[in-house]
Amino acid sequence: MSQLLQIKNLKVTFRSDGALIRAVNGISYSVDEGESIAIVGESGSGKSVGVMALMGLIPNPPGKIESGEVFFKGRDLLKASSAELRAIRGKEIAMVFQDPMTSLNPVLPVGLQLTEAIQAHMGLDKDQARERAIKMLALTGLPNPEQRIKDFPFQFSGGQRQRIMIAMALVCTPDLLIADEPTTALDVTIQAQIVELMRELQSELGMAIIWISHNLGLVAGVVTRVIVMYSGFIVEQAPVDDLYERPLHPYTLGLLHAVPHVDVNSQNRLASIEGMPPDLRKPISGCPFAPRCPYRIEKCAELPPLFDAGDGRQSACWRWQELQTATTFGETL
Amino acid sequence: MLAYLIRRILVNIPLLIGITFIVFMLASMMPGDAVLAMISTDTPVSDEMIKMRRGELGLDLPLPVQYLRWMSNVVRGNLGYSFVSAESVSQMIAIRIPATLELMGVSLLISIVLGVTLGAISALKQYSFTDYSFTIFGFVGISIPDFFLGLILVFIFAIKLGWFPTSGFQTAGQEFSVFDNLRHVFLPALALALVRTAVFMRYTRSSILEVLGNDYVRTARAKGLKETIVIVRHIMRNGLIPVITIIGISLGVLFAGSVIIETIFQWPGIGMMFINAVTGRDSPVIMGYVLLTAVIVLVANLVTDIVYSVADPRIRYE
Ligand SMILES: Nc1ncnc2c1ncn2[C@@H]1O[C@H](COP(=O)(O)OP(=O)(O)O)[C@@H](O)[C@H]1O
Ligand SMILES: [Mg+2]
Repeated sequence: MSQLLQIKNLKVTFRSDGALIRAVNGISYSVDEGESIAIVGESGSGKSVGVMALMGLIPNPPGKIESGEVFFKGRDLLKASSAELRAIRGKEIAMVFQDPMTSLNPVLPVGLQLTEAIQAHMGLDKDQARERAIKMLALTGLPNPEQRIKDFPFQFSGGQRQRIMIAMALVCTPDLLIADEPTTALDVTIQAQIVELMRELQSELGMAIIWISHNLGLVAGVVTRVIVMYSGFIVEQAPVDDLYERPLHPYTLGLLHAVPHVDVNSQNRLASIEGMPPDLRKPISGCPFAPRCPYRIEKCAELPPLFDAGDGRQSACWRWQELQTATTFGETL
Repeated sequence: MLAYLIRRILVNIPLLIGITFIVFMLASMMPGDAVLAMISTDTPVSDEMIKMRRGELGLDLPLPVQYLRWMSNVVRGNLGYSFVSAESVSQMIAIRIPATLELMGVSLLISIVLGVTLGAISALKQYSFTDYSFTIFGFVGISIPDFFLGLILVFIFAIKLGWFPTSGFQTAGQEFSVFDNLRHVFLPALALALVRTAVFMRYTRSSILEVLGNDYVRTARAKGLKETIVIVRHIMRNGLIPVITIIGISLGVLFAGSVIIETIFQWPGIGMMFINAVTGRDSPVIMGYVLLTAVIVLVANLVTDIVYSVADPRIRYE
């Protein structure tokens, strides 16, 4: 399959109160057409900033893209003019955000919020745009879209609002959909519905999806590949099944232990990795995960590169080979 | 909504009674009365004459009785007659109110257009030189009293430059023309507008700044909308909703503020009528003015509520 998106060495910083926050520290990855991948990591690890940067949505100031290239269909988006970017946003790359309560404009009818996106990109007249909006809302399973298109966001439930957000993102049939924690703000039962909906829509419309989550378990069933981020670095990348079977980074290992198991009561999400992520305002010299890592060795005072571990796998751990050959996690290490 | 409005009006009736009663008492406590105010020291008048005249005007009755007489007339739609000129008070107001409304309207228009535009620019260019300049203008605008500004404007634009007339409603002896009248209203309206321009600007700025950081603005940009649509439909549309309330509240203040400006510019509105009535202890005219002001504030608040609920669909008055 041909490559849709390729990100090379992307670095993003923020300046706040005189300090430099290194939010994204030179990440590289690619997404094929129609592929769905997940980016996971604790909150604050630079997942959102990384994708906002490629949409040109980092507020400047305080944000700054220090370096990098973002090739989308062969074009470098970081060099695109604002008019070119505008033509791509919403049309070729669309986004669904975390909180459907605040991501919809509270004083505009939802129909208008869909049709304005259609009219910005598709050259349809008002009636055609309306028709298309209704069709898209119906596709996301919103009941009664012909009538409800006149309603305002506050007249919908949280799950319905996220359906509307998804319809809005997909209304121009983009080639890439970025879903930034689209279920985090929703009830557990609704979360599963939305995940299922996105899976269905993808098989119907065929777009590529970058699925951002801090919950590995949630995205496991819907993606083929997982990128693990920690404090602005990619620390591991692997096909989803391999990652589950044999993580090649201690942080991933920690995340997997933190995945809520089938029993609904377990709330021990990521809290089970001890310690805190590093302060992004301080320059990182060694492995960023070392202070929390149970497998830490002297070598970890040096920043590890992202090793190629074969079979489409990458790990940024000095001890990845040991992790690969160990019979039981933790035992031989 | 209709039920809500009716309820609001009914609730305000006791308020109107309270306000007019207090003002009636205060007005009666002013030293002197209408009869003494009419007497000039050149032509002495006998005490008997004064007593008789007071009797004619009802000034010898106890205050509560005087108030009740006034009130019962008001309820029947009669605002009474001026002690000084014997004209009907409603007639006096009807003749003068258009001039006051014109002054208020022009002034409000200036301050809304200027205040909202400057405030929006200020917010969209936060921390720029433009933003700082507008903020300084805002501080100055709020601290200069409008009568003082009025005098400065007259001095510069009327006396020194001669661009505008110093006072009045139209050029004396000329036939009425809209252009001539607008030239006359401009300076007083501007003097009256400055404070509110600054106030509207500050509110618009902070309200739009608040909107800028909202997720739905990011959504609008992520959709690939033109920046003008993002600003007008998503940022301004939301940012101006709180400003509606400020504009509504300022209507009453504006009405009261026009008293001094009308006097300075000899603008023949009801502000000037009120000042003359106070000087002449002409209590029916004073009371007519106070009642009108209270009603205007009440109506302004109601209109604000209605406009607000139209602008923000989340608000529904039950
Ligand atoms: N507008 C901003 N100003 C300053 N810092 C920011 C801003 N946006 C993000 N950051 C910083 O960038 C880091 C990464 O944030 P983010 O990408 O949102 O994390 P994630 O999505 O993984 O939870 C955070 O430490 C955050 O403090
Ligand atoms: Mg995030």
